[in-house]
Parts: sequence; C-alpha cells; structure tokens
Amino acid sequence: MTVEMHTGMEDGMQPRREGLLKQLRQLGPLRMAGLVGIIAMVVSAVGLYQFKHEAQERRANIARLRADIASERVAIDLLQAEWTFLNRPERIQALAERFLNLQPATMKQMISLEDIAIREDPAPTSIEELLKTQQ
Amino acid sequence: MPGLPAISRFLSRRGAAEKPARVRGSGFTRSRSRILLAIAVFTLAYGTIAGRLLTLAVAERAPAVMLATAADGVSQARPDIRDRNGVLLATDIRTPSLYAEPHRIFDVDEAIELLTAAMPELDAGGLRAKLKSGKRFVWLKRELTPEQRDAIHNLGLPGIGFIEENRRFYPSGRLTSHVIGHVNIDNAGIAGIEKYLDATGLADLHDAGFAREEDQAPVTVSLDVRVQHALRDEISRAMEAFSAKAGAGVVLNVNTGEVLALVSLPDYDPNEPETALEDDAINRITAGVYELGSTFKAFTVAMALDSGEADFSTTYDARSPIRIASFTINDFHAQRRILTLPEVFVHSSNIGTARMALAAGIERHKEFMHRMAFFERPRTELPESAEPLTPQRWSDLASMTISFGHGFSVAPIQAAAAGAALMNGGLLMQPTFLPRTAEQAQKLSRRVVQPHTSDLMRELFRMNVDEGTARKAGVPGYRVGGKTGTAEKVVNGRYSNTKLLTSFLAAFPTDKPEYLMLLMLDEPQATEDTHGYRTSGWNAVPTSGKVITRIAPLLGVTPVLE
Repeated sequence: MTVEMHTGMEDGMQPRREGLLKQLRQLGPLRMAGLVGIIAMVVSAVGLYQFKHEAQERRANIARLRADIASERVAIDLLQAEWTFLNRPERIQALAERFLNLQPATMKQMISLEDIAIREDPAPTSIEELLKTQQ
Repeated sequence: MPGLPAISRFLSRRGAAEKPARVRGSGFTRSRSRILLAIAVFTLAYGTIAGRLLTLAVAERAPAVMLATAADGVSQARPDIRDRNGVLLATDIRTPSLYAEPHRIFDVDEAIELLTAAMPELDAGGLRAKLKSGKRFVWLKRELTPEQRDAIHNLGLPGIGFIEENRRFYPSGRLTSHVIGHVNIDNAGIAGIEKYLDATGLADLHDAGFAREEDQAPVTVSLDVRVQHALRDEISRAMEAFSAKAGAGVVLNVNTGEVLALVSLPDYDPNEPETALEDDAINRITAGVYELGSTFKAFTVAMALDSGEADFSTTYDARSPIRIASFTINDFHAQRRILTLPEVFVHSSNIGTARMALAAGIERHKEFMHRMAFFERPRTELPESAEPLTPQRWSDLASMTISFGHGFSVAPIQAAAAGAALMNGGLLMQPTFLPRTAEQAQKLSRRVVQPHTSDLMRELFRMNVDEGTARKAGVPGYRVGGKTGTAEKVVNGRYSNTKLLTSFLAAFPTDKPEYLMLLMLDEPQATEDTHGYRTSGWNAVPTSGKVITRIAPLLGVTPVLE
C-alpha cells in the first residue's frame, strides 16, 4: 500500500513539475529576466537587511566596548594617581620612621658584585650532578 | 555614446531572426531591442551598486568617525607628567559633578528624599533651598566618586545630571611644585613645566579641540623624585634647626645639564593654586637673584688658572687688608701671610681673590663673567627666570668685590650651571628640566675653560672638603668637593653682618664629577651645636653632606673606602 501510494504521489507530481518548467520556458527571455530580477531583489533586500542589522549590532557592541575602555582608562588613571599619592616619599619616610626599626643603608653596607667571594668549584645544581660527585 | 549603436544593431539582428518579430513587423523589433538595451543598462548599474555594497560590507571597515561630546570640551585634557623613572607627577582625573535644573524637577520633596538617601552627606536644608530657588542651573555637589554617581544615576530623577570635568591632580603635592608648576581653573598651565607645555603647542591643540586625553603621550621631566625628596627633606630640617627664613637647592648632572632636583622652600601646594601667591613661594633657584659670596671665588680662581698665568704655586699677599676708597677688604678666616693659590681657595681669602681679580684686570674679569653667561638671564624650560644684577660701573673696587661674590647677583641655577662647567671638563651647558643625553648636551654646550683648568678645580674642591672651610661636608667614600659661601645680605642699602645667606657648591665624586649640588640657606641662626657660628661651614655644608649621603647611593655613585 505504502509503496503504491508513494509511487502514485511521484507519478502525480512529475507532470506538475514539468508543467512549471514548461510554463517558465514559455515566459520568454524578457519575463524570465524580470522574474529573476524580482527574486534577486527580494533576496538582496533580505540579505541587506540582515547585513545592516548585524552591522548595527556590532556597532553598538563597539560603542559599548569603547565606553568600557574609556571608563576603565579613567579608573586606571584614578588608581594610578591614588597609588602615587600613597607612595609619596614623604609619607613612606614617615611610616618607615614610625613602624620600622631600620636605618638608612650606610656606605659600609655596600659592596660591588666583584667583591663577593664566589666558590671556585660551584656547588652542584642538580641531583644528577650531586650523585656524580658522591661516587 | 559610441558603444550603443553597436549593441542595438547586435540586439536587433538577434531580434530579426525570431519569428514573432517577422510577424509583427520591424516596429516591435525596434522597441524590443530598446527594452533589452534598457535591461542591459539597468543590470549594469544595479550590478555596480550591488558589487560596491558587497565590497563595503565584506571588505575592511572604513575608519570610524568619533563624535566629540560637549563634556569633552568642558575641561581640557593635559598630558601626564612623569619623572625620569616614570613616577607620576601630574595627571588628569575625571570627576563627575552633580547639577540640577530646578525648573525640570516635578516633586522637590521626593527628589530631596531620594538624593539624601543615596548621599547622606548632602544637607537636606541646603538642597531644598537650591531646588526651590527657581534657577535654571545649580551645582549640587562637585567631584563625586564613581560609586556616588552610579547611586544617583540609578535614582532616575529628572532634572538631575552629571558633567564630567578634568581636574589636574599632583600626587606629589608640594614636593615638585616649583618645577611642575600648576594650572588655572580652565586647566591651562600658568607656571613651571605646565606653562612650558602650553607654550609648546598644547594650547593650540586645545583651541582646535583636538586635545584628548588618549592622544597625549606623557611628558617625562629630568627630575628624580627620590633625589627631590631627599633634598627637600634635608633642607626643611636644616631650616628648622637653624631657624632659617628660607632654603633652596638644586642638583645637576654635570655631563648632561639635567636638573635632577630643585627645591625652594617655603613652597606651595599645586593642588591649591592660591597658595602659590604667598610672598615666600617663589622659585629661588631660577627666579631669585642672590649675591652668593665666597662661592663665587670658585669662578675667580678658575679665571686665574685658565688664563695660564697662575698655577698652584702662584702666591698672593694676604698679610694685610686691602684698603680702597673707603672700603676695607678683610678675611674672615684671616691668615695674615702670603698664601699660595690653593691656600687662598681653602681658607676662602677675600684678599687673595681680590688680588687675583686685580692681576687679571677689569677687562679680562668682565670677559670671563660674560663667558660664564653671568650677564644673561638664565634660559630653561621654566618660564620663571630673573635677570642677573650686574654692576653699572665696573671699577677696580667692583672687580675686587665681585671676585668674592659681592656686587654681582645671579640666579642660583646660573651659578650651578657655571659650577658644572668647571667640574665637567669645561663645557657650559644650559640646564634643562627635560631628559637629555650627554651627547646631546655636548652639542649644545660651549667651552668656557680648558680641561686642565677643570682638573685643577676638581682638586681644589676636594682639598676644600679635606682641609678647608667645607670639612663638615665630608661624606666618606663619595669623594665630595665643594666651595662654601657666606654672603652678607644687603639691608637698607648696607651689608648686614647678622643677616646672612649661606651657600655650598658641591660636586661628587671629585675624581670624575657626575653631579653638582648648590644649596642655600637664608638667614640661618647660630645654635648650640654650631658654637655660635652661622657661617656656611656650620649649616649649608653639613646639610649638603647629609643630602649627598642620601642621594649618592640613589644616583648609583659607587662608594670607595679610602
């Protein structure tokens, strides 16, 4: 049954499709061109609308990001100013004098890198090296 | 339209081949061909438009045009100013301010209730008066925090709005006030580097409306905030210890002419520009002129050495004071004997340097002072500068007093620049507040003394700290050298022996000087610690020593233990 019905539908549709094509063919090149033009116009209109919509969305997104960047920048500026304000040498010195039991470094506490005694046979830096020296 | 007949011929030929055309006649053929032609033309036109649209949509975006809003124009953006290590010295901060348009508020009571709920520090009574005033515009609160702005924004009250303003903020406050300067209410620079920036084109940018914050690269100045702080801290301590009226100091890199620190106390807070108007708040280093006293002897001695007529073995008779006209030139640390040139310098003998000036003669002395640029107004980026006070008639007496720093007033920055020339091998360069390399500085410099003279001057500076008037500046390891000066201030037209201006011109390390410092104290008083003395050696010199102890390690001067 189903097979018969199926083929029946196929049979029924075939002539109709052929008819449409035939009708189109009978339209002649002029009308054909018109029809194609209309379809192209509709398609392009829809496409254009979509493009435009997408572009608008993106533009809004860009504007939002720009605004975000601007406000972040303002915030960074503000925080930097605040940071510098809190790091004023004057304030650090006052805090250090109050809370730290430290004194300014004197010249005697400074030596150059060359004056630091460095081992002539450097200590092993890896376990493998250490094992090798043990053997 | 040369192409068209060809197309129509082609089209009509095709048309002629078809049957209906033959049946209906040539009139239809012609119109048919015209229609085809029209189709072709329109297809071409629309095709072009479609193609262009496609390329516009797909291809790279055209640069977006940004619209300037009114708020951008309200307050002008200025570049950040940073020190040589990138520490922020001046910046713009955007702060929203709250305003109301009372005529647009429907329900004043509701508005007050909501506003005071969002910002409890607003005073309801004052608010009511403002909102009921019937004015078109009232400020409710200047400079809100971002949180406060959001809270009020979310109330959605009509007639209440914000205007964002750029405000100049100086995080270091007083520390760098004299160099950086400050701005007026319109954010235009009116002093210091701020004014200099406007003069170099920022103002034009503002007028054209192009000065946007993000477009402006930060400006770096040659200052080092750490050195600046050490200098300011020590000078203010010294002012307190010696009850001095004022104090000032400048640190120069002798090879580049860069100013690393400039302090003039009392100073002012650039965040409160009205404090700059106080009488004492001038920049003494560039905008004040002073008789520097014995510090000037360094230049007299350099002149004698550079002429080639004197060396370390040359002697000067300092056995008795010089009497000329009604004046007597005497020595403070009187030796009453014949002194060699180094002894004249180390004992700071007025008689000795006066004899040096006489030996050189008026013309040569004058020429040397010209060479050291002591007759010109100092030119730096700072707009604040002062013309030196030079003698109207250069007599023998004038020449002699100038040799030890009286009767000739210069801005301390000039003396420092000239001192740097004596230390760096003989090149006089204009001090600058912007970063500069030694090569750039050399191109802009001018030779004023021979390298050999510079070598000898370094040696003399060193000797003076080892055994002369500047012993208290000795900072072991950093090889400090210098020349002291104690000038009597002119009070009512005559020199006062109680009101003094003490100074110390120091260079370090003396084996190859890199930095030069000039420090001054105005009217320092004697204290118990100074055994009743108030000369430079007891105040300006030890203060300089303390500064150098603090700044030499910062500046990377390697200490050498002798």
